Amino acid sequence: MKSVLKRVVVGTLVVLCTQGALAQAREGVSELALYQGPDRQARLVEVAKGESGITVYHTYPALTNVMTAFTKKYGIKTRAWRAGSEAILQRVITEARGNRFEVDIVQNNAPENEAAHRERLLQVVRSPLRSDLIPQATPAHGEWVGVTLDVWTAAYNTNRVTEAELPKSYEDLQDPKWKGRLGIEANNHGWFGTLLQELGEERGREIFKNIVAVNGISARKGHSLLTTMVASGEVPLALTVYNWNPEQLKAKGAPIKGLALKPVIAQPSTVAMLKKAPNPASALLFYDFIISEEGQRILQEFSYVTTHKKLAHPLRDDALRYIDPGKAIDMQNAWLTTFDEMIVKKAK
Amino acid sequence: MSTSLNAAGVRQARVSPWQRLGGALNMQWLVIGACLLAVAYLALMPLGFLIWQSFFTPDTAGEASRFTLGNYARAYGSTETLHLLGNSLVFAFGTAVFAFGVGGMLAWMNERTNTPFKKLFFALSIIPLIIPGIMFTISWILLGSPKIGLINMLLQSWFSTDHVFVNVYSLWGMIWVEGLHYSPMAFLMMTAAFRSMDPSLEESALMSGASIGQIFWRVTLKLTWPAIFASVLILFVRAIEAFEVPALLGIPVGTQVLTSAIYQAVHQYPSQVGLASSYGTTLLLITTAGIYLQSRLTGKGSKYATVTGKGFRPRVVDLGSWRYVTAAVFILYFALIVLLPFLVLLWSSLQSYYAVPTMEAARNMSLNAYRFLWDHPTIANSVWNSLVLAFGSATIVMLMTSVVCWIVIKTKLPGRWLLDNVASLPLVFPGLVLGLAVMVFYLNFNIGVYGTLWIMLIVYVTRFMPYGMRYNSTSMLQIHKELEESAQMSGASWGTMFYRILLPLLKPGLLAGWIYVFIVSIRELSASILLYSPGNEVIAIVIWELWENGQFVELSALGVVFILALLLLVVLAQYVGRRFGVKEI
Repeated sequence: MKSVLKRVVVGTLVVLCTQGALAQAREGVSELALYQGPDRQARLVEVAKGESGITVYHTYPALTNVMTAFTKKYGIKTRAWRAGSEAILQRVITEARGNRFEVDIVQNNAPENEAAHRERLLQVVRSPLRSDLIPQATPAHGEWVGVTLDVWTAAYNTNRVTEAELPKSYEDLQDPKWKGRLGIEANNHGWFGTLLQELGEERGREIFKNIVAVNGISARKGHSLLTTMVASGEVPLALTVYNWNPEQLKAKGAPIKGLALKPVIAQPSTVAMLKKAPNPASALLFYDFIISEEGQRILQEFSYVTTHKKLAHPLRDDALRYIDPGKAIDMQNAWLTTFDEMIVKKAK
Repeated sequence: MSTSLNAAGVRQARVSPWQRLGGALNMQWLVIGACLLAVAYLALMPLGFLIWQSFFTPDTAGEASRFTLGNYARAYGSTETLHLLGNSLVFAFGTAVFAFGVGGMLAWMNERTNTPFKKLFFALSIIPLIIPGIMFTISWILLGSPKIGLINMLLQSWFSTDHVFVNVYSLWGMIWVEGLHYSPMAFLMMTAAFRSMDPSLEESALMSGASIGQIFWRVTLKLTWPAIFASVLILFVRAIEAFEVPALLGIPVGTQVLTSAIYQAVHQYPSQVGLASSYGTTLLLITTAGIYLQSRLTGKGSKYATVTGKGFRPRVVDLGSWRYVTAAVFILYFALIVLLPFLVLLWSSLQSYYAVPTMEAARNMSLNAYRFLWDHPTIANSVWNSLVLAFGSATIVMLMTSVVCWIVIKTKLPGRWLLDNVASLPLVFPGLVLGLAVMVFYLNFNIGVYGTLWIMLIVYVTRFMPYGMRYNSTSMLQIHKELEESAQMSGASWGTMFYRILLPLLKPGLLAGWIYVFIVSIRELSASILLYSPGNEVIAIVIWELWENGQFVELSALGVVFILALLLLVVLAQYVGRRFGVKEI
């Protein structure tokens, strides 16, 4: 009983103390984040010395490598918490409402971080390095920055689909030779909504209605599963995997290849700093590091399409189309319904 | 309340000094009170959250949350939900019956017959439970898919045809996979029930000329009816709440269930927790109905009590030459259900990516996946955390629910079935909603558990309490009241009676439940993922990460290691048991 009481008292004290310290630090956060003077870097390094490492919430496995390189460069420790995109958003929002501020940096899909922006949780950061990135990676509000592009491509099993019969466009998939051979990820409504927009709503719907009626599309939960199923031959041609999915398996010798069907669609994966980050200087150093050429190269090594202008990638051409993160939130229900009605419920 | 609860205690007061009565009462009420409070606290908090949320719109920075009936209107205003619910019910009912059939039969052969080698089979019977759900389902895709399924390919080449023999992508396929995966749950529960059977009843039937089939049907099954009902009920409710199998086998062919709708509601922005909760209320009602029925069944006094004051020597039924048939059934089961998926995992763990077994692929075998696991930075820590949590939650759940079950079954407290119900409802809270409820609560009621392993322990105990209830109540029902009464007549306090008489007699149920809760705690993901924190990873998170990264081969290797570790543990436990003369009841 005593220890519980003690815990409650200590807990309350800790909360009170951290709240006080936070109020003091808050001005420091935005001042640091917006500072653009020539000694920005030196100042951040100096302030960071008094901080206690950073906490990062992330969805990408490869972010671990960026964090390792960051620690090696600055000697700043990182604590990582990894989960799915929705769980991260959920946790950031719920923790903020519960007045708990432990996280410094959040890496997540653009729509999720756009949602965090709408929840007024993110800090505007004026990093000088932002100008090195493509425009789609730097929204006007400046509260998140795109570090990579998740590009959806098709992938096929090279033992089950020959080069000669590969489709050139979505129209080609209406050919009955694809009967029972197509797969798709079951949650790609954002991709589908944007694709229909690009193809022309009416024409797009017509094409997919035909594909589903003639050949059927099997829906799979999760891009990893879908890619594994392509490599094993279960799904000869998958329409929506992330571009690095087949690359990973191909490197291990699996009979799988990526295939870009136009219009190719991408969504930035983003990094943001929290308004109430407990370690703002270290967080900003990380922020700068991941969009610097050095940090971006690490991501490129893992087959990611980066957002750095200097690091070209064949998929990042002028024809590449981007999901608008704000629109993805506003249209969410409409896109979900369309995708469910047209594809998932008719899956076979 | 106290008079009905403690009639025996009052009687005892006439012969003992008042002080002693006071002591006994305190002890009794302290334990009972603490358990009641704990159960109420653990179960009512998320229940309150769920019901409260279901009447509100999502709370965002742009729009404050407000009262609405819209969640219910949206959830139940369309025929779509009915359709999903229909699928869920068929799937859950099929799964429950099938899993019970398999698990119950194995338990009977293991406990009530003299089938050869049955000691070995205990460990093997619970193997499907330890395989992570994703891996178990995928192994069955690799076995039973029309395109690449090994079973189909093998049969097709034998009979030189392209006929599809089995198709795992169907409602039957879903029932098969889910049913097999959870058959150990029925196995463990029925094992406990059969272990506490009074063999003299079966023997008298035998003496009166009944055949083995008749004995089984008319004596064994009838006596274990509460256990059967409890197993089927909990299997049914669990299958309704299942997500992995319907997602991996149903969605590819357009078959969706209610949990798909719950999943979709939670996974958007703003997160529709209210909508998910209003879907969840249907599951709450179904469970409540089931628990009520069960309470009617068990309210019929000591009809099912087989453990009495009379001599009690467990003895098995001699099957004669039939025991070779049951042994053959065992072997067939293991070849098909345990060995086949295990071999698929083993094969894929030795590859660099999954390839259909061929001579060429066999040349590419390597141990890289195992090396990867060995070098993994967080696995050792995660395994330790998981073991600590699993041990803690299994022990707390089983001890706490044993007291609650005593109240529900052995007292005449009015409304005690509601207590049973409250303790059983966490079973159907969608995992993510439960995780969120606990998260919100401890963020606002800061006692320092958030961000530690304690918060996960709280969630695990809440989540698996219902299983403890079912396992314990099944065994509790079999213990005749007369044992308790004679202890009290001999002057034992309630605490002594509970500790020295009830707990040892409950051992079969306690142990079976403990094993079950231990294993499912290790696998718990949906609530853990929201609540773990850096440095407090559990093994389920590592599994999820490997899966998300597409490291299927490494995941297979982990599955293989899991199975071998479980086997080793059970064999070790049995060896230690024999060595130190721990007698099994």
